[in-house]
Amino acid sequence: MKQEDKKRLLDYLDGKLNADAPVAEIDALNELLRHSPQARDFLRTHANIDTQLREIAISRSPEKITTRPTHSWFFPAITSLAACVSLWLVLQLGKKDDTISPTLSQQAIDGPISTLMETATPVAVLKSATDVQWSDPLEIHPTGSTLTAGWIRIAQGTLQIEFLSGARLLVNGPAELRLDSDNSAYLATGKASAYVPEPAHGFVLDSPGLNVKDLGTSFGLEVSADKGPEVHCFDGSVELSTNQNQSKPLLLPASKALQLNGNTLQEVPVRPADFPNGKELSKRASIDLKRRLQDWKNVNDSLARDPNTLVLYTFDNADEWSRSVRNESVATSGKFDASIVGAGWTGGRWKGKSGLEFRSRGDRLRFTIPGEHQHISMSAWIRVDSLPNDYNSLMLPTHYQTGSLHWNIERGGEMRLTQLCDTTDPVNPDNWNGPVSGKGFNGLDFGRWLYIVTTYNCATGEVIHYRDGINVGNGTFAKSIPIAFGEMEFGNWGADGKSQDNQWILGQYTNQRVRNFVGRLDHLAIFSRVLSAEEISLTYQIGSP
Amino acid sequence: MADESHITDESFVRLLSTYEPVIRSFLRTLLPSFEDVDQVMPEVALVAWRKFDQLHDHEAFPRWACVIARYEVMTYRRNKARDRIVLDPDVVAKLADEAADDLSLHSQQMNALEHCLKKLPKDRRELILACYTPKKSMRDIALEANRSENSLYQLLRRIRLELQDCIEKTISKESTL
Repeated sequence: MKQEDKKRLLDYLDGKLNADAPVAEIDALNELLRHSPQARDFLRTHANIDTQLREIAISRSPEKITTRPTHSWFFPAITSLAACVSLWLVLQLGKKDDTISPTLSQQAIDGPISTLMETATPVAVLKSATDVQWSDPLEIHPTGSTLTAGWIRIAQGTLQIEFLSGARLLVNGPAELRLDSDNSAYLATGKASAYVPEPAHGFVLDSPGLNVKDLGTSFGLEVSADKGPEVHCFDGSVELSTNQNQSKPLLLPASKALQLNGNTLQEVPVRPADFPNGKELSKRASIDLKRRLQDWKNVNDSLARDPNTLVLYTFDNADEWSRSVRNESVATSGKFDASIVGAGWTGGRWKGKSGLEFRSRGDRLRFTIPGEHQHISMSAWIRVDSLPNDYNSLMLPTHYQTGSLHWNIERGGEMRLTQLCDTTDPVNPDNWNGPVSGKGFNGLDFGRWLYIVTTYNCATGEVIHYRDGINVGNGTFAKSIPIAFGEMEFGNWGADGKSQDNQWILGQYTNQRVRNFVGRLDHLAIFSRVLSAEEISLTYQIGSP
Repeated sequence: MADESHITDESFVRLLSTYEPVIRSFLRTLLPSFEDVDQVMPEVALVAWRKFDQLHDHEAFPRWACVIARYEVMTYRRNKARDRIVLDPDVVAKLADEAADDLSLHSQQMNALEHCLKKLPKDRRELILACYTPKKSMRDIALEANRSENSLYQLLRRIRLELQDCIEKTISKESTL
């Protein structure tokens, strides 16, 4: 942009080019802004600079409360007492610490690194998968995961699915089930029991040739290759229609069963015992859980004995009042125990497994790992409940130091690793390795347990991110700098955007300063070697809830 | 009902608090001084509050608020009979649209400004912030700095251009922290 154009725009902004200026000048200004996107950018940027400088100046001014009625002008518009109270609370929170935040808004605006999370519409939740063998290893649905419309296939075992409408389905394998909406599904093969509470009345379970609509009931549906589909009404009543007589639905009362034989429906004896039921499932789930806990214990034992295990926090065998977590690694036994700050004990992936819950701004798990390392793997079982910050800490150093790793989840769900190479100017991107990012989470992952691993080989520079045993992103660090941990924190950031002499490095008002993790952690291990993809996949399969 | 109005109040305050800097910056592109911005901003907030129940998509809030701001600027100038609007309506509309589209950039610029402000020599930083402190006249600041008022304006403009340059460089580098 020409200097004269810049001058014209600044003159306008400063009030020098005003309505008293010659018409030709005003026309030239309008023409410039009309046709030049750069001119509009320039004007907007300078207006932003002006506005922000004034906010900063006001926040430093001793007269700041009376200088500009920042928010008080909301009040005349509010009529109800409740509204006033709620507004007052919000505004007081915003005003509480003017030295940190001159306006609430600067903290509230999303940071520049945010990316939208792609999410499909959820229709159901997988409550349990007992003794399940999935038909396709690439189509595994962990317990607790949110399910979207589509196929679910199991070779054996029992699934317990809760539709968002409230309908509950138990499915015995081998089975192929297609979820169609939050209140309908299609059973291509398998045995299913449906329990439908009042809000979900109208739940539809279709099968080849036979469609079942609930009218307030529990019922069973069996679809197999060697006979026509059977529907058994245990309680209440269901409405049946076949592909041939869709116009005349048939009412099936309690304790009756029908089988579709060719084009006709024939009565058959009702057999509730042939269908999955909650009581029996509960017993099997308990046995299944014991087996899986034992398998997981065996994994932990081998991880603990691995000479390259720097720290292993399993969070098991801890007292509820304890504020420290024992390092289970044999190689570093007796050292590197972690301290819990703020976070509370809670349930882990399984019933009977402990974990930590991180909820508040100050919650963290602190530990120290001395020395320098050439290779590293960091792994954790976590449950992300929300991503409130631009960067949400997985593991960060308490101080900026050369070689330290920054392991974060971005607001948009990306896993991200960077390494500080030079502490002289931590704001300069040239002094950092990375970022190397990996597709981490989407909105459907909130509230479910995930296994995340990031490995870094200093010799080759290769960084790999894994989620649930699968490589979700890799890249290379340009500079070969040994890894130094020192004082570390899971779930928070002690440095808080400040240097060791307490100077702001990131800036007081940035969205990137606050990094508290919101969710749960029930396993954290760091190794001084690069774990292989096979090891990671196996650990995931055994540890998956 | 009480609960619903409570939620509406909170939503409104949250949105307004979040986007107030964007609206203020936009007003600044249309008005010649901060005093004018301070006069118009409460009017924009009040009108937005009265009409808030008509806004069904809260994501559209910044664009919607900028439209209200445009009309409030026109009303303000008409009532004050201060001057004609310098910018043509189509230019104002373009600026409003782009202000609402540029939320992410606005946030980036604000973060970068803090960093750039820190890089300024201390005396310059103090000087520019003094100039933006309300109730401080440029004449007094010029006297304190032993400068003419005109040269202070020139210096101020240079510092702002330096800041703009620094902000652009900082954003183009992209933070890797």
